[in-house]
Amino acid sequence: MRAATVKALNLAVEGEGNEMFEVIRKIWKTGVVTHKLPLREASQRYRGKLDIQPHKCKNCGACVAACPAGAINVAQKGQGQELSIAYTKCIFCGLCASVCKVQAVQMTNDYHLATKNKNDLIQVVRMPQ
Amino acid sequence: MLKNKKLFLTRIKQQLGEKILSFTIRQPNETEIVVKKDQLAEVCRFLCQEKEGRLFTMVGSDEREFAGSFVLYYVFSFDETQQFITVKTMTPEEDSTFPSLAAEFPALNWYEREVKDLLGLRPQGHPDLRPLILHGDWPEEIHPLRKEFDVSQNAPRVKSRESFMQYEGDEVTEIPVGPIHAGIIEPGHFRFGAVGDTVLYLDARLFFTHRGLEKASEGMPLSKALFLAERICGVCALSHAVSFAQAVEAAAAVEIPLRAKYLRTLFLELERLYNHIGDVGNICAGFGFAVGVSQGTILREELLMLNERIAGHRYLRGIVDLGGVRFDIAHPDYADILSTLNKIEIGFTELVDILLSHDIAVDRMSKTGILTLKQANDLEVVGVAARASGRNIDIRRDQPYAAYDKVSFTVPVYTEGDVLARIRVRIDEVFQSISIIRQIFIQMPTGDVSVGLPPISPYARGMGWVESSKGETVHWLMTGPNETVERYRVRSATYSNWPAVALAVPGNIVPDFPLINKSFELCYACCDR
Ligand code: SF4
Ligand code: SF4
Repeated sequence: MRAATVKALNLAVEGEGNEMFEVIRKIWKTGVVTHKLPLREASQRYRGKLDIQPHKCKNCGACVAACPAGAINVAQKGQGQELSIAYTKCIFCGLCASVCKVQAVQMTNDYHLATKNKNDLIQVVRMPQ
Repeated sequence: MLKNKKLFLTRIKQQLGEKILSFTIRQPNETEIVVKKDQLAEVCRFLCQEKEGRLFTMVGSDEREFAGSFVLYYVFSFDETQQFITVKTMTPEEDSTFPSLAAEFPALNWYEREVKDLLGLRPQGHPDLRPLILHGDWPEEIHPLRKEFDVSQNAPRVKSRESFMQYEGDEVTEIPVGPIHAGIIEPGHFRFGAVGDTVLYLDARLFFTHRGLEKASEGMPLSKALFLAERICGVCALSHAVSFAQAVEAAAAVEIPLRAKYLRTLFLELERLYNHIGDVGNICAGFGFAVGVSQGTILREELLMLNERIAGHRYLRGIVDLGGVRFDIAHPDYADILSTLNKIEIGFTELVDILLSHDIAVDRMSKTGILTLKQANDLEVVGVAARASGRNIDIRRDQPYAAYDKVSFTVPVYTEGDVLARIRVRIDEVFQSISIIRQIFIQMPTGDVSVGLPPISPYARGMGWVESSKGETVHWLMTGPNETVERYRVRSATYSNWPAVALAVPGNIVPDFPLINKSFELCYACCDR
C-alpha cells in the first residue's frame, strides 16, 4: 500500500500525475453552493403545519379516527367543540387532510416548528356553534 | 418457466417423501412444508445444499392462542425458479426447544439467538448463546414477543450477562469504541483486540436502538402499521414502506395497478440514488478525502431537494398506500426528475473520474476490508456487499416486484470483496438506476394509482421484499382479526450484513475500520428495530 502512495506523490511532484490538478479544478468550478439564511420557502407539496378552517368542519371525526399518531382530538368545551392538534405527536402524514371530505383540514408547507415553549406546539381551534 | 416450477416442486416433494408432514402450495410463488422438529435439519440441509436455496428469513411466532404452540418458519428463496419454500415446524410450550442449525448454517446464528431472546425458545446445540437483541441486563426469563408480555410492563434490570472475547497475554490491546461516537451516527459498541495497529478480532455489540417495533405493531390496524414500517429506518423509509405494503397485498391477494407499480419503482430508484451517491461521498471520509465528501453531499442534497419537490418529503415518506401509492405525478414532475438526473449524471461522472484516478484514494480502498465469497455465502450476505464479493444476487432481478420485470438493467458483480469493489458496485448501480428511471418515463402507463383492499381473513400470511440501497429487506406478516397485525418480522439487509463486517475487519489496521464500516454502510436502526 505504502509503495503506491510514494509513487503517487512522486508523480505529483514530477508533474506527471494530474490528479491534484483535477481536484483543484473541481473545487474551483463548484464554487459556493450553500444557501444563506433565512432559508427559502419549502416546496409546495411539503407536508408541514395544518391549516384548519373551523367553520367548514362538520365534526364527523374522520380525521381523529384516521390519525396514526393520535395527534388530533375533538373535545367538548362548554357549549362548543374544540379541535386540537398536537405537533408534538403529529408525523405530518397528511391522512387527516386526505380523509376530510370538506377540506376543513389542509396541509401547508409551513415547517417552522422550533419553539422554546412546548405549548406553542398544540394548536387549538374552537368550532363555531 | 411455469413447467419448470411445477417440476421443481414435484421433485422436492418426491425426494422429501416421508420426512415431511405436509406439502402445500400456498401462493403461486410460495410453498409450505411442515416438518417435525427432528427432521428440520435434514430438510433444511436438503433445500440449501441440494436445491441451492438461500435463507431468506426466519421467523419465530407465538401461536399458542390459535394454533396451540410456538411456530418457527424458515423461508428459503430459490432464485432460479422464482420460488419461496417455507419450512414450518411447531414447538409446544412444554418443550420450548428447537434444534440449532447455526453450526451448519452460520447465517442462522442471529435468527436463533433472537428467537431465544424474544420468545424464550432454546436452540439446542447453538455454539454461542449470549444475549443478542436484549442486552445482558434484561431478565433472562422475560420474553417480550410472548403474547402474555404486556408492553406497558417495566422489566426490572438485572446484573449484566454481557461478555466479550477474552485475550491472554499482554500482546493484545483491547480498544473499546462506542456505543456513543464522535459525529452524528447511531449507537453501536465495537471492541477491537489489536496487536500493534492490526486488528486481531472484532466484537460488535449492536441492538442499542431496539425499540420493540415488532411487538408494538401487534394488534395495530394494518393501515397504521404502515406508518410504523416507514419509520423503522431513516434512509430506507420507502423500502420498508413498500415491503410492508407488499406483504399486506400478498396476504390480501390483491394486485396493485400497473401505474402504481411504476411509481413505486421510480421512487425506490430515487431512494437508491440518493443513498448510493451519498455513500460514495461518505466513503471518502474514511480516508480524509474532503473533496469527495463534499461533492457527494452536494449531489445527494440535489436529490433530496428533488424528493421534496416531487413527493413532499426529502426521505420519501408518505408515498406508499396499502394497495398502491397515495398520489400521482404529472408531466412537469417528469421533466423535473429527468433534468435533475441529467445534472446529477454529469456531476457524479466527474466525481467518479476524480476518485478512481486518484492513486492514493484507490490505494487506500483496494485490498482493504476483504470479505471472501465463501464468507459472504455462509452468512447469506445481501446487497452491495454480496455483489462486491462475487455473490450474484439482486432481488429486483431474482424475484421481481413492482415494475422491475418491465425494465432492463444489469447487476454489477465484482469479485475482489474489498472496499474498492463495494464502491464500484455502488457507482455502477447509480448509472443503472438513472437508466431505469429513464425507461420508466418512456413506458409509464396511465390509469389508477391505488386499489382498495378486500377484507383480509385473520391469520393470513404475506411476505414483501425490496432491494434497498443496503440490500434485500424482507417483511414477513401474519394478519390478526379485523385487519390488524398478529406477527410482523422485519429482516433488513443490515441484519444479514452486520455479522460480515466483523469478518472483514480482522487483519486490517485499526484506522481502516471507519473506512471498512462505511463501505458496508449499514444502519443500526433497521437492524435493531
Ligand atoms: S398529519 Fe397525520 S399525524 Fe398529523 S394530525 Fe394529520 S393524520 Fe395525524
Ligand atoms: S376536520 Fe374534516 S374530517 Fe375532521 S372532523 Fe372536521 S369535517 Fe370531519
